[in-house]
Amino acid sequence: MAMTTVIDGEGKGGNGGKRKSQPPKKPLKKKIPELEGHDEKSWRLYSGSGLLIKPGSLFKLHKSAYENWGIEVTDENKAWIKSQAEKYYDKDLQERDEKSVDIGSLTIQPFSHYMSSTTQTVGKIVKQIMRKLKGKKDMIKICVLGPRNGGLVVPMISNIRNLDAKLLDRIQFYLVEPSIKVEIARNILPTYGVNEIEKTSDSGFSIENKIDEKSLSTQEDEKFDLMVSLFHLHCKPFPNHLFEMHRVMKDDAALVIADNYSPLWYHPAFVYELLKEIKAGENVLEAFKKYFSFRCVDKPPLTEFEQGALRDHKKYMLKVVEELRKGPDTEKPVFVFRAHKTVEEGIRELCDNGFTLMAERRAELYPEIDGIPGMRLPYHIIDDSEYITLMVAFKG
Amino acid sequence: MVRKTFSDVKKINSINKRIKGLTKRYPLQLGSVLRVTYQALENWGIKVTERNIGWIEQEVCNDYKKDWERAEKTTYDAIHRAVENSGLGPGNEQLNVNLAELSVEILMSMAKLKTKHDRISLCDIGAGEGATTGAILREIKTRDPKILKRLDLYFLEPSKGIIKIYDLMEAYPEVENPQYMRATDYSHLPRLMQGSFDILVSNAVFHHNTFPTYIDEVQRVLRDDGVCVVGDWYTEVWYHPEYVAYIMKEGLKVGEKELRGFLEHMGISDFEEVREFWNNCSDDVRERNEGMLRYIKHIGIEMEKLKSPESADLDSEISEDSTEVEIPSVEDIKEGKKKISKLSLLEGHETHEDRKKEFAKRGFETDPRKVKQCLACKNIEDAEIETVPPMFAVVNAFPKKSTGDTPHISSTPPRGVRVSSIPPRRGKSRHSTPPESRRLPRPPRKIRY
Repeated sequence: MAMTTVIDGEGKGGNGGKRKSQPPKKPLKKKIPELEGHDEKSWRLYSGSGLLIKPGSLFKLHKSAYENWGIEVTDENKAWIKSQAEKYYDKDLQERDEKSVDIGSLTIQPFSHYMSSTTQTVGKIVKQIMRKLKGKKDMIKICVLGPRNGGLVVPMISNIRNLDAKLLDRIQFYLVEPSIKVEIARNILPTYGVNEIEKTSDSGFSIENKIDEKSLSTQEDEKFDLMVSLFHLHCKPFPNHLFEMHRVMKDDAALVIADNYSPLWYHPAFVYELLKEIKAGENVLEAFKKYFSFRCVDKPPLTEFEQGALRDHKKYMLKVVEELRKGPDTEKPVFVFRAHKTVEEGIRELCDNGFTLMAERRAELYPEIDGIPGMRLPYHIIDDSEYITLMVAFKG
Repeated sequence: MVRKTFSDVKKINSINKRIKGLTKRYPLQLGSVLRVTYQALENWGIKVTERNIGWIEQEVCNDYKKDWERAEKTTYDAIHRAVENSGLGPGNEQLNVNLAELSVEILMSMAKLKTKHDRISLCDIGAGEGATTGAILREIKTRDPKILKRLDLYFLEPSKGIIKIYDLMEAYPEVENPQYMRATDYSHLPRLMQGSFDILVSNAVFHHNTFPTYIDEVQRVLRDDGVCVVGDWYTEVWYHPEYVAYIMKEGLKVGEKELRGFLEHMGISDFEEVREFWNNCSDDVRERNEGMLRYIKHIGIEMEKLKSPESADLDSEISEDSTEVEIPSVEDIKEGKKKISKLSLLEGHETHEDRKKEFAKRGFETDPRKVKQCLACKNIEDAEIETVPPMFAVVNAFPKKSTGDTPHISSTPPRGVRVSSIPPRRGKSRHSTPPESRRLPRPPRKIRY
């Protein structure tokens, strides 16, 4: 599903209503050898350009964008494309700090500020959810997807302690993270009074250094009282993980999602604008435009919040380049393609997998969430943009 | 152990040089002993007197100034990674959040007592890249965005990081005309008018100072009903040479020769005595010391990576044996085969109790119960927040002591911030004459962007 899909925008921005992007002029690639060649050629477009950021593999993009980039997903090639995407995301994790620059280590204001605001707001939402869960007699089980080094869990712990310090003795945190950095959580969390679980009846935390699908598939049905997903959904071209997340959640469990949403990688015309802004050479721009065969006027229309996200994502990328130019590692490439999607697409995926974001359901299960000052879900950390958005979903 | 102490400047200089020299060839060094908080200097054989205090302060200022000039982005990144990998990172973040919640609670009370057109002035001492003020602005925006328009913001920061605050302020266009001063609290606070600020915040800054004379200035630039909100790390890891000897062996991995030299110089019989000293302290102190030791080990790893990034991979970064760092030989350094980045460790860390005493001495209310009473903020649950237990990172609100029976927070109109010439210092501090050192770090100037 590309951006040719009908999206019921609120008509606040873009053209509103139904929108269609111009279909690519070249025939779409669908056979595996063709796809291999297509991706390889797309990498070569930037060679010798001296760009500090490079898009990377097309397979890392969200499935709804593939068509705009000349790829057709079929039943035959879907598994292969998915494995390629996973391969490149794994490679990113392994090569970080060695062959490429870890963008997360750069302080890019105001985005660093937005990120810490996000984790703090997640902490506040979790606190409100815990107001109800603390009435449960059994051990409370919380699954956190994408906790990085464990630091992102600290605001949750602080908020829970603030609500009732004794409650931590009845909580099990289950941390799922593909990066080896999750091991650092073993240093961090005990400092905040949460120790590693030794016996299954203990409170504390356990670590799974795996991708969520592999980890969740070993978990029993309806195990968790709360799921928290931190900036990990934008690395998922196909939403199969949502099925597993739905399965392991209890019927009244909440799924708190904090993520980046952006249409930047949806269409080559948006990327072309970015390449221009980071001063890619004329030859690179020309080759890019020619290879993907698009017209700038073909850009899909966007809602006001999507436009805001596009603006902020581009602003962020420009600041990344600015930071990289100051650093000593200018020869290291930074691959930036991710499976970002719009909030609307994200909500649709959740609904397709049995979740609901209805305010009525939230009010029925956890009315306390709406009591947080200024909270209106989906909650945009940046006022007029959905680039960083918080959502709370429930089993429908 | 009672050590012989010296007050003569020449002798102190020689003690300092000797200790500095022991770790000179390591990328991570002890650095100047004079940077240790004044309460601990006697443990290092240095007696502070009226005659030598000015010289010590000047030496310390020079030392930090050299550090700032020498430190490159790569060094800051190394520190950042070490903080993250040692598990202290979220503590810094949490300090900002707790400090913001407490400051904004106080600020809201102040705002209620003023007319809606009155402005509220806030200064962030050691603003860094804006993380603390960012957390405060976010909290205000959540609770009452109208207050943002009434804020007079003032940033004080000696490093280049202050430039990042311009970018941060993009997110808060409502705040009019924030003031950026690239200077230190030592050099710049004396230039501000008495009673300039309603609220003064500072996070993870004061532990750099040997002498608490900056508190005199904090007191002076605050309005009579002003409040200082401080977040900081509290350890006594540099108080005793015995702790430092333990860190030299277990954290810095110095050679036998250097360790022996240090022990002899400090009159410690052997390392067993050191180990006993380290283990025999209270659980709380040991826990804090272990935290610092873990950080130092990780700093060692990162400093080593700066020389040869290929030699360290992510696995070794977090393995148990990862503290084994390769130290270049003296010959290598002499021949210039290996260029090393340097970082000094000793700083003016204080215990939480010692810090509170210093604030109390200088006219601040420090008893948490009285502070709460004094601030009359209904929603303040605790004017002293432990961010990382036990008392490792703490946020405190210290209001200036009220002189009368009137409520501490009054409705008198605020005075605007104006840069004035250096005023005479107040109070009965022994440093009533501003030492020369106060003018040593960079001259304050506005950054043009």
